[in-house]
Amino acid sequence: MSSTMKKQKKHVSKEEDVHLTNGLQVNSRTLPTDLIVETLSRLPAKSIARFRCVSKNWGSFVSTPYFTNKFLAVSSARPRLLFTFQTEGKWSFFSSHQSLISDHNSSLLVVDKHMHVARDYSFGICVPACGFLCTKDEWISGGKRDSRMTICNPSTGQFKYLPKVKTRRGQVITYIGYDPIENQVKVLCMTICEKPFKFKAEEHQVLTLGIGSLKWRMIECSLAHYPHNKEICISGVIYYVAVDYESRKTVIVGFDVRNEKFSFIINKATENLGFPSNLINYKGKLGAVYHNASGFIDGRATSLEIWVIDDTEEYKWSRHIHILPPIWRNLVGETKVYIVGMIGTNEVVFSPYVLSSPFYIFHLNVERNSIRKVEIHGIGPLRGQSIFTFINFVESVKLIM
Amino acid sequence: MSSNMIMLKSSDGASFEIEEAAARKSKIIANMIEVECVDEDKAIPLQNVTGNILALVIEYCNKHIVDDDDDVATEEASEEEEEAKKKKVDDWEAEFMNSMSLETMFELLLAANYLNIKSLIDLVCQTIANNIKDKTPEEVRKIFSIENDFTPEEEEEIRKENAWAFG
Repeated sequence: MSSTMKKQKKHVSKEEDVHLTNGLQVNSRTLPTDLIVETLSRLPAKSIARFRCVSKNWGSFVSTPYFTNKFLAVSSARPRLLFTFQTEGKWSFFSSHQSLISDHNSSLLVVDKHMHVARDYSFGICVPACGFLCTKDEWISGGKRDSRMTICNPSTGQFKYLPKVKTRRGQVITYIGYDPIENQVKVLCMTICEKPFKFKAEEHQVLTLGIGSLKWRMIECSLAHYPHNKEICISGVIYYVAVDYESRKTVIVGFDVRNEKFSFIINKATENLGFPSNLINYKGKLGAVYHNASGFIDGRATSLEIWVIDDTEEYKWSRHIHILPPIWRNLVGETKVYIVGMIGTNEVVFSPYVLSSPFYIFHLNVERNSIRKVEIHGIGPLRGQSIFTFINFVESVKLIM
Repeated sequence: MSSNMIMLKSSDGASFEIEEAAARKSKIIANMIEVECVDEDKAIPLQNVTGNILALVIEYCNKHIVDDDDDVATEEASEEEEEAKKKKVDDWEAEFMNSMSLETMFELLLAANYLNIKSLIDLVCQTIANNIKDKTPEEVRKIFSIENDFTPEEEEEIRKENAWAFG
């Protein structure tokens, strides 16, 4: 970020050094700093960004690890829906409380506008980790072989280019993950060897955010595989579906963000996992949702298969087929949707691939077998842009150093 | 057991009778009861809490002691019942905080902090946050008695960096 912000950082590093007011007198006593912190950590990230200019103390305090960790702890308990897309040379972000659709059964969501970043070519976006977004596929979609990935925090408005990946190849696959133990966000990337019929990932590299200068480090991977998109990060492990290079069988790859090691789930069950499957977080366990529709899901889909790993040692899956309610056909109609993921234990969220006006997402409660069409209000009269919808987005006010 | 009544005395001399079970919502008072420094005939003096604020604290504790009892008794309540009950508490809390001025909220926050009532601290902090989230930096300075120590140029630069948050 700017030099002012960096300068301010030096002022304050510890909590006890800070007096956030000159003396707010309440009942002839001064409001202690820890109570102000309790209050500020419950604000939306947008308010924090606006209050950076309240005073030098406030500005630097809200960037201290003490405050950013406190804020993260509070915001983790109230995850959000995030909508992001590109239009007119801008990469835009909108979000709203997830609990509105899951607990309050709202059929209308008004979204908050976040910052936007100037971007004049298209790209994919990794599933966010700990409030951070990372672009992917810039090489292919953007047609820019030398372009670099961008890391972005829509809650602070900060974005930054990552250093160039060490490769001469054209296709780079990226994932971002969060390790809650060391409290670190890392970006994993690999390049794709594109010989005909021999696609596989090589040159695996990792970059850690927030400690010194951003640098790619080469790491080892013992199983040659070709990854597909649609990852999920659960308890510090990034999972994605891939194809084993030798056997051509489906494999689930796990990447432990903390110790930077790969693991592979390949057995009878993964072999039978349909394609394309979306990995989900089922009560903290790894699961997958597979739909039988060919290609896209739309009103013609009739069922979903839900898989959950019950035994992490032997990777035993339990699987059940969920028949969609008859009203699905009318509600979804010809809209082509994808599975965003699962909220809690029984709610599957579907998003259209492209923006429309008005724009709707779909919320399926698997237990009650009820489906709701939820209007997303506040994005604007846009149509046709590719939209990325994410669940469980956590606001973070951490700055990328 | 919960019919035991104890007396609380505010800093300005007002006395309040409260069920022991409700008073135990305060960790400080609960501790006092544990170590038996509560004399049945004497009121517990709370030097940092005025009568009007203590009345609010007691109202909150009375309301929530009932809810806590319910939780234990109906552990196997259905999901709908749980939801309905949670909504009732949420509605009550919203109503309870609704008419309060920011000044009263700050006083209540200090009292909750002094008496160590975690759930009340959470409630008041969240309500203050909801109250100030759309305010301008100028308004926030006023509310928290903060002096703006930025030069106009410095302030302008930070505003520019965070321009999206002012929209």
